[in-house]
Amino acid sequence: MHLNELIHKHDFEEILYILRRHPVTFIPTIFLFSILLLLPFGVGFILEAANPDIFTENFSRALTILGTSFYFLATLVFFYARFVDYYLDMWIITNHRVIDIKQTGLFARTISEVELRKIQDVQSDVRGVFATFFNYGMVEIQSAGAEVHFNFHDVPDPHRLRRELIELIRKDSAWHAAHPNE
Amino acid sequence: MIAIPLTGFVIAYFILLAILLIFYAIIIYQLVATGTFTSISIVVTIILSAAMVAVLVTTAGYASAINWNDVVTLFGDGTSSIF
Repeated sequence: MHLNELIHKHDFEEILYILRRHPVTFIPTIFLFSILLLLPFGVGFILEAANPDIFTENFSRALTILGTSFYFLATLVFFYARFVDYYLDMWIITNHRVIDIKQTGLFARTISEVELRKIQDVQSDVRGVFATFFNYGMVEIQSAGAEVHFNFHDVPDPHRLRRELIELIRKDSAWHAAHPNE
Repeated sequence: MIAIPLTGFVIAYFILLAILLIFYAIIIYQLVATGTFTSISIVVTIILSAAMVAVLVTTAGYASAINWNDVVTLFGDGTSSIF
């Protein structure tokens, strides 16, 4: 399956933006992953200091090898799952609509969308030291029906995105005004 | 040559390893199914796969240095297989 099929892209539709959270927001996960990878070395050092013979005995060596091996493999898979959670959370903006794809864990995905002409209000928000420094923040979209409320969390350059979204909405509304039957 | 004893914890290790590999396959499937198995995700997949292979090779290396028959004896389980 291609991304076009996932969002059921129309023939006239053109994908303009594929947005994900700013990469800097993934750094805490990388940091946590690094700590988890270093943890067995620290624990091993402490255990060996407490009992120098602990890893020389055959049984404890065998158990340590299998346990540590599983721990490292599980940590790598955990990191991969976190990466997919980050990578598959995305917002797609086309010349016709805005699509919100939300990945929750490995087995849950929510896709919602709103047509550009139905969007009533777009707000951008940059808050915090890191967000200001790395220029990422939230873009909030409110549809005319007041039912659809999209939040683009931690997207890069939210103020520029808001301006470009408003311009797209203006163009789409103008097109629909000129073609009322379409 | 590695002597693998058929004791509980070794079997448990291989069962858990199989579960992890299934999860790994599901994650790759998610990326392929959404059409996002491109650029960054491929690089991350290659790096993590290489790391997993490195862990498995290192495990095999360390495991081969162990006298598994002693471990088997310790568990009172005389059954072992060599492959």
